[in-house]
Amino acid sequence: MAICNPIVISGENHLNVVEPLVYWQLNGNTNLDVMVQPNSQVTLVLDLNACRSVQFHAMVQPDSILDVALVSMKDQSIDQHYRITLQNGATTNIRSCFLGNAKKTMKMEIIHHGLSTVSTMEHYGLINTANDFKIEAIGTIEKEADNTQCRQALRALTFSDHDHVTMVPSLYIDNYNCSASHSTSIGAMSPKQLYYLQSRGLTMESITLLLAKGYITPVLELIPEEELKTQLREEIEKVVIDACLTKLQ
Amino acid sequence: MSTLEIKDLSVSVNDKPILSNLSLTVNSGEIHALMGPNGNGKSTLLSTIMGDPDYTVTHGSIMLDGKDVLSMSVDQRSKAGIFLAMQYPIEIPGVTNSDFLKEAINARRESPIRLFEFYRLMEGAIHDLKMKPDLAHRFLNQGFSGGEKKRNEIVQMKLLKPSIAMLDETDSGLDVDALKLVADAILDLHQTAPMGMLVVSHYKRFYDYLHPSHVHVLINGSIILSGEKDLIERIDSEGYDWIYRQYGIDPSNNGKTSSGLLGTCATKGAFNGNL
Repeated sequence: MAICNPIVISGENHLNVVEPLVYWQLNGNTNLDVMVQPNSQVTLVLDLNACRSVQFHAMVQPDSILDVALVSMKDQSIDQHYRITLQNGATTNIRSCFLGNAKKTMKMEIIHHGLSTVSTMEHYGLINTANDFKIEAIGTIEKEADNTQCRQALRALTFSDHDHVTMVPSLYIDNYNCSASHSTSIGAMSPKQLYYLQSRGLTMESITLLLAKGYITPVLELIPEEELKTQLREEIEKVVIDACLTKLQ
Repeated sequence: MSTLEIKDLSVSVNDKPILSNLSLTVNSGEIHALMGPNGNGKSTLLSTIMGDPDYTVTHGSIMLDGKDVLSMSVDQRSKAGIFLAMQYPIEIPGVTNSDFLKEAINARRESPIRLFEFYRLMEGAIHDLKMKPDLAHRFLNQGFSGGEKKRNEIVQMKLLKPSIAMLDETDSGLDVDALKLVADAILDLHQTAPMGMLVVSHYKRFYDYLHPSHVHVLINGSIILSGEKDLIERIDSEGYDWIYRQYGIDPSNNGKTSSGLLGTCATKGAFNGNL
């Protein structure tokens, strides 16, 4: 079942996803319409490193699960729009890790349309330039969506006072028989934190690696295939260390 | 066998002198208690030895086994064997205890520690300090109570096995049971691999457990008085006023007359007002 080579996708695509794990490398400007079959579980790993813009619409049909891991680590500007609709009994877990080294914007909306739907959205950003980095996370619970759970967590680590990041979590709730939460944290590692880690023998390089792990691991945990997970971890850690080391020093 | 030798050390923060011509030698197997009123330089001394960038050494030297500590970076000092259990351990969100400790252990090894061995060591330390089993997977010090943070410092010390360990008010924030637990863990480590220790505390109870071999009183940035355990007894019962009086110290400024060395008998003499 191992799918470690990405399927390269660009342009307009209408896809019925039946594979349990798909690794897509998106190129250029990509429009994706995804239909997840009822009673199925699908994990999409989207490599956005070569992508300039993405429009992603997914319909998660009844009693199915859609997990999405998004990775954007290269210094490529990107504009992203995601809209995921959950039908009765559907679940989605979205996790992304971004290196904020170019202008990157994302608007992600999860629409709880059916009964007993569940969503979690976690976005992790390592910000190392003054370029705009903006994430807008929206959870919409429609009137019909009884017994819904909706969670959002946004985290960004900056490396200097000049880095700029905007993260906006929002919830629109029309049915009050639900459980919903959102959180955001943005901040830099303080000199005291660096000193503490160094006082245990860690070098700047190992500190950077540790920080990167903290932001990357939750995203990789979504991927059920060890070979792909290891491959992505190595690629991402190398990019993060190269990009962040000079900022920490 | 390690020796930390501090000679004529003067330290300032933002051009304000904190330590003045302080000298102290700590050998493996020795436990040095460092006492003194708040704000007189005890934490500054420990932080300076560790290499906290907030402190500037204006004079003097710190040598570890003949090597110049002041020329080392903070991580090099740690790898050389110096450890500081901090008074206020820092929270590091996003970094788990296990990742952090594995990295810290590997930093002082030529080849990475095997995962099985690491988890065996870590679970042992967590058990000894009676920490919650999920410690390994929690972010470093984040959401920890004051006592948990202090115990986590000792978990780290047990795993990193320093040759010179400095404890900066490790006992503050610990309840009476946790205090004994922490002291036992420190003594156990000290007996297994004798370290030189420099321990800052205000309280006799902690020193009663640790049995320091040397006791120093630091006032206005200098060691005014050195002695043995009965010096702790007297400070605990009488405070510091007798030292101010006997040494002609004005605690409100940096002026001081002389420093003294007290053995057991001399301290008894001091008790009788014969100094």
